[in-house]
Amino acid sequence: MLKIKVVTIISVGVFTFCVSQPVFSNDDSYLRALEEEAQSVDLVKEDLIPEQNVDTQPEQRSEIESGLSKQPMPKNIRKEFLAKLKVELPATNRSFHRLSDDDQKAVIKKYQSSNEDMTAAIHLIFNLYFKHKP
Amino acid sequence: MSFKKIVNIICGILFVFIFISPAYSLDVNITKRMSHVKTAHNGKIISIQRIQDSHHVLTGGYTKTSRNCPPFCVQPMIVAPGVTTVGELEVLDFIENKVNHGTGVLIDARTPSWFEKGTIPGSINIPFTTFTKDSSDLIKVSALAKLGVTIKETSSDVSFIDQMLSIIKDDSSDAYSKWDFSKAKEVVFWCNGMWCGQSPRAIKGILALGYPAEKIYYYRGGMQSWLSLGLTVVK
Repeated sequence: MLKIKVVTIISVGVFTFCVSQPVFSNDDSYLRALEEEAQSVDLVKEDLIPEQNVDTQPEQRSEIESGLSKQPMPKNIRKEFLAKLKVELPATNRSFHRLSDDDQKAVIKKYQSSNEDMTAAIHLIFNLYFKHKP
Repeated sequence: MSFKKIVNIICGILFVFIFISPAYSLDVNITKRMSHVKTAHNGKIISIQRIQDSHHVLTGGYTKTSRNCPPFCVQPMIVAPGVTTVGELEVLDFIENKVNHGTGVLIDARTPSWFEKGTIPGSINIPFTTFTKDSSDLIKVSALAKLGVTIKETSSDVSFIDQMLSIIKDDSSDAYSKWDFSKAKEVVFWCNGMWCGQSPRAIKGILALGYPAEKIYYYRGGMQSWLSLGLTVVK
């Protein structure tokens, strides 16, 4: 009798838990479902761009490229670096702005050459900052 | 010159004009007057046009009619107050007049695994997860910079402690004050279509940061509609 009661209580508990849980209550579940769905969906060759749609004629390229010159495609490294610095490391940001123009340029160059690695740039900021301090 | 001759010449000119005009150079046009739109994608100039085979039908994954809901539920026509829902012609117009001139950004809001399978030419991939509360400021800064959004300038006499506090604090009022949207570009968000919640999530996320709703457009049809019209997709 006790056994039946325990089994019933556990069953009701499990049932209540399942019913009360939203199926996709958080982003993780949603992302998992998206990834699973992405595996099952594939574009067939015919849906993708046919060769004749790619323009290689120089005069047409330059025509559109001139219009696209204002596009944000080429990254403004300095702007991006300053934005990151301001948000993530406000104190380092202050030190950076106390550096000379040449030193600031060197830091940006370092950031760019080290695959946009903030650690390398920060290291250089402090080296340059303390180099000029007594 | 006789009246008959003049009429013949005019008819001849009209005939030649109609048959050499570009809108008639393809069989399957976008509209009566538009055969294609050009844009750049990954350094290549792409002509967006419809598949010219009038017998072509979709056979890939986008022919599927039913997916579990949740999470793949049908999306409303109006995704958020102030945000305009658009169709293919508006997207093409946006590509031609905004994206090609750097004043607008076409955003594929899907996760990278979807983006890699194929995207609308001229799109950049900013996954919807970028704008969720959990994503770091670093990710948001990089993404928003592409849309013309910057961090507000702080006064130099603001103390270091205050600056640190403003970064650590994570309430929405702070988020509102942190970003400068004065130069925010017009953006079109899209994802897989009317059953896809990725771009609506991105729109809600970016609105929560304070992005002006009137500069946001939602292409509800997404990849599903784009493909069903045989429009160009690039990998």
